[in-house]
Amino acid sequence: MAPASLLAPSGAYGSSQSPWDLPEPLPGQAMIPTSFLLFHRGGGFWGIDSGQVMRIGPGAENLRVELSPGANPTAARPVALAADRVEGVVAGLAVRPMSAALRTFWPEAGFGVAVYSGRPVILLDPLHLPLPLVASGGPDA
Amino acid sequence: MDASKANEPLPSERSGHLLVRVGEQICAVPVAAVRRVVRALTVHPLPGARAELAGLAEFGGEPLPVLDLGRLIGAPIGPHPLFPVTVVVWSRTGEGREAIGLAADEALEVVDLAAASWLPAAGFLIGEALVGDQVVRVLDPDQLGAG
Repeated sequence: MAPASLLAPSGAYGSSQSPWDLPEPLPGQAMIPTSFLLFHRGGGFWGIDSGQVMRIGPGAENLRVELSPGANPTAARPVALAADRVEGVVAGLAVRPMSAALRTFWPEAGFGVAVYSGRPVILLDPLHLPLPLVASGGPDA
Repeated sequence: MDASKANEPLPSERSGHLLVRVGEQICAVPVAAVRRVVRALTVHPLPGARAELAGLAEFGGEPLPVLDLGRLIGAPIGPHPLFPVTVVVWSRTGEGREAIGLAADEALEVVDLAAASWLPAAGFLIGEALVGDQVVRVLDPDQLGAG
């Protein structure tokens, strides 16, 4: 799949979102990536900094989203995510921090949450990927 | 006074509570914490979540965690619950305030409950009260986002 085909079509942003909605980082706050690769997995809708995505290809379970080695320098080898379907790459998501309730009942660490096209998205932290999303095995030939 | 305790009734106070049915159990939610009751929101599950978290929904353009009220209050639920309504509540006040959805069967009525008569309870419950001959479990929404 060519990366260019992943770009969301013009006008694909939700009604309350536009590419100019990117929140200004507060002093001391991490810079928010400018674009996210959005994908579906296990009934959920997920996003990851598109700058950390190296390759998307077939995997043991539908699609395999390989992250660049720099995404998680502590990992022994490059990490890949399993995806059922890739939605596209979008910029300008209004990123919110994970709420306390979400952190209470979902023990994984996320980068934040957002809404895209009326659906909630969990934005992943490449350093703390939820195990159910990590692809098993290597890429298909 | 601690801002997070601003809604907590004094022992002698009566306060309005929305009665919500989930399965065979009735739960009381402080009216002051209720933001809206809506038809069931579409919930997207999160793998690895605790059983109480039904998933994430979108409400008013914002991501909303939706909790299974039956599991929260320990109510026996049938094998295939539908939960046709979502009660959107506020957890805590002030800067830490956040909205949470509660998946339930039905919003019934608003009643005044006297905190002095509540039996103590643990977890996400403030206590248990009698409404008629029905034991009602009184939810503490502030505990839902307490970490």
